Amino acid sequence: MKIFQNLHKNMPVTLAIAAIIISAIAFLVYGVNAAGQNTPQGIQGYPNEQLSGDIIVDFQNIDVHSHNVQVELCIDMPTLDAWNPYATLTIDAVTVIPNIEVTLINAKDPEVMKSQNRCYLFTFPVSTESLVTKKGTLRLEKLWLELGHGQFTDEVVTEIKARMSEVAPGVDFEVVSVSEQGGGGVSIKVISKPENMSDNDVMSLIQQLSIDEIPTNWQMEIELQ
Amino acid sequence: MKKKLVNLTTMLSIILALGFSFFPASPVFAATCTGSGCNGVNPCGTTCWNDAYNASVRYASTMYSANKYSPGCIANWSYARNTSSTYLAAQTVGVYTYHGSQPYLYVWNSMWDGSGTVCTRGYMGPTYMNYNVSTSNACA
Repeated sequence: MKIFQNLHKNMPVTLAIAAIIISAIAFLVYGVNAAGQNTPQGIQGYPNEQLSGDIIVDFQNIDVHSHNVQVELCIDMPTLDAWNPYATLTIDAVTVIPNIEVTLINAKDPEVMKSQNRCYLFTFPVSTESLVTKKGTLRLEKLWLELGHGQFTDEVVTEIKARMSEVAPGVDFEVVSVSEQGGGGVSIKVISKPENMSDNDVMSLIQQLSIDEIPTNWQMEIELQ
Repeated sequence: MKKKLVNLTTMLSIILALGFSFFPASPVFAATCTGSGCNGVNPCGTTCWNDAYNASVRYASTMYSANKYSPGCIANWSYARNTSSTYLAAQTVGVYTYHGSQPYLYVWNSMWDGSGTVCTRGYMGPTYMNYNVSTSNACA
């Protein structure tokens, strides 16, 4: 009874505490969900062993915002092909934050793809205000390239099948392409596979083999303030 | 000797000139469409996809979404791809969205005039038009 009397007396304080607790729970739940949905896995590709991972990278700029960090890097691509960079930001040597956004700077400049040196803006989702350590390690993890500019053309399918015969013999599949008004899509029909592989395993492998990947070893320490 | 050389050069020039007039520049290099002429055109099977690159990429869960741009066609379109077949959608923001009517590994939508800034995004979900993962806008 005394407790209720005290509660009644301190109603504003109780409400404020309740509001803080509810907000904290909501924040945690939202945060977990957001992280679950927006955790970038990065692109897994097929290692291109003909090209070197010693890539020249020129750090241009960093912008630290309250909810993200944006970094501009200029990269010497190994060829004139449409390579895509993938980077991470490590904080406290433990927390690895992959880029969720990568934009080619001056993307519509007719000259941009004629040069191997291209500049990109990377965005890392990190709440910098809550960071204890204001230092991070920026890593260019890899470069990846969609075969056929992202289309499963006959040539691309032939190449995927050749790669598949090396990494998972016994897998056979058919590519079904639907092109209609407004757009289209490509699905995979698995014809045969080893017993220990599921259809999803096969599809994941097909996706992987349709992308060239070059692991890179460039990194630098940055200040997050 | 000198006269022969002059005659030979003249003949070669005439042959080359005639050759070029009969066989003009290959249509392979002509863009299927350009700018607003590409509005609503499906990029599949066009020259636009042959020189396309990812102007901007967004990641969400196991999906990535690319804002594809063709410099030859001056056109953008949306492209969404997952690591396994699922229900996907490719959207050009404020213009149109292509909803894959079955599980796909990747989807794309029609092109839109790339002479201005175009924003695209991708969606993914367990059933048709029921999406629980989406990327942020990729503008280029």
